[in-house]
Amino acid sequence: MNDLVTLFNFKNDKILKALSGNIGLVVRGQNSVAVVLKSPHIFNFYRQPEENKHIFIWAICGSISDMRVFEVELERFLSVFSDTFSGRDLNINLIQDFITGYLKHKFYDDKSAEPVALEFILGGVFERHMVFYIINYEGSSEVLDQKANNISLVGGGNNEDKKELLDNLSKLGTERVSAKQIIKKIGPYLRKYSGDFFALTFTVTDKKLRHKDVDRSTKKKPKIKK
Amino acid sequence: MFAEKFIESRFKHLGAEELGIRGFSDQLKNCDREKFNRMHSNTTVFALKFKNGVLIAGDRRMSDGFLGIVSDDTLKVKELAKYSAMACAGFCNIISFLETNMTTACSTFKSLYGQDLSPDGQANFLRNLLEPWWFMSVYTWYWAVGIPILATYDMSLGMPRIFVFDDSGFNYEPEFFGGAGCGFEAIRGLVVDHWRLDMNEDFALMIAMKAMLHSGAISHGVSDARLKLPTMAVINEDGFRWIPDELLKKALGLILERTEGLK
Repeated sequence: MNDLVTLFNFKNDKILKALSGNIGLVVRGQNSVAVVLKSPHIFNFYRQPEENKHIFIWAICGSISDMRVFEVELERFLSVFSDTFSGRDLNINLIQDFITGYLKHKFYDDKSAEPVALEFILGGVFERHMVFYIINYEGSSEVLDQKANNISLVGGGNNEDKKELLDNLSKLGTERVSAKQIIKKIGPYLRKYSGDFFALTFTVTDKKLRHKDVDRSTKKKPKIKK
Repeated sequence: MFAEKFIESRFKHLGAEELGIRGFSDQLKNCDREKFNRMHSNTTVFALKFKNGVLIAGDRRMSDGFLGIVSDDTLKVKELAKYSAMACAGFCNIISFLETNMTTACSTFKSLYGQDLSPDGQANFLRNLLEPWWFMSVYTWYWAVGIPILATYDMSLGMPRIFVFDDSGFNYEPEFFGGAGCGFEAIRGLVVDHWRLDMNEDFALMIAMKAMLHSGAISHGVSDARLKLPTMAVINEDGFRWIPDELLKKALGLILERTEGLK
């Protein structure tokens, strides 16, 4: 038992270290939501299995091999699933179940000391409404709905760093501005994180997030004052 | 790989190992466990599209060996989900295996992921369930096989769909009518002759009842509709619905009244 605890603590430390320079944020703004990631290795996946069922997966990755191994596993899963059932049956809940299972399987594998540093933000349309999931490296997931906090994050270093960042971001009053303005405002706070910057905005209509309002045009790097 | 393990953990019967050598012995064990493993539903089951939906029907007879009658009360139409149903002909052991796994898969998927399995997903899953049973058809000269049909209403496409299978899992979608069982060949021409693209549910019911009368007259493995009412159900955009016995009796009475040769 003690050996297992030591093993998990070892993995935990390695993963936290690998993810400390990465950040992923879901920020709720006025009638919009912004997804922002900054990491040396960003995994980005988009699929539309059928009408009204967009699926987005973003991950911050501790290493290029973590990212590639996951990508292979996801493609394999999609292929096996499509053969077993149908590509039409893919939805965001299924992807969330698969990813949490994958992360738990890797983290709690007592035969391997290899750390897998991945944290996810999932976005998907379910029953005509956009749903977001945040999944941490241990496979714990949290669904973000209308009642959730305005700002949720993955990565971001240790708990004190995260708390400081959240405090700073909450002072910006992001809930009163549009998603595009949020991206501009929070950019300077992400300077200490390294890697590529990725941002995506979603527009809310009728008090719900709807798939047809997905705006992918902000994929370019925003200008950040230095 | 984790992908296979994950799918196996959620939908047990379809892991890669289940489909391989281990699956083979499992199927044999399943046969041993079956108390009445010689039971057969010789059967007529079929599905028929009409203007706004699909009608699925099955007779009521379960046979033992070639000539014995075990029951004339068998329900061969099985509701799978809100918009789908299946019916099978063949070896009862395989049929119960298919029905159990299909209903479990449909309800599990709905509970876990919040939506019904699509018609294509159900057809693929059924194909995967059938594949491990290929050896039964070889060893028993195509006698101990299970052959299902699947009738669904596809809400995304807004149209009814029918899937017809063979004993190895191969399936296709007939244009408007498909079925299985020893009495099916006898009714194929009759249904094709009467079928119309824009016919309503009542007209489809009359054709289906006439077909059941014909198949019951031609095969000892099919219950006679005059003695035991067949089971019929309709699936349309409102979902699955059984056709009540009163309506079936009325349709039967009308046909017998008008058709001298069937009295």
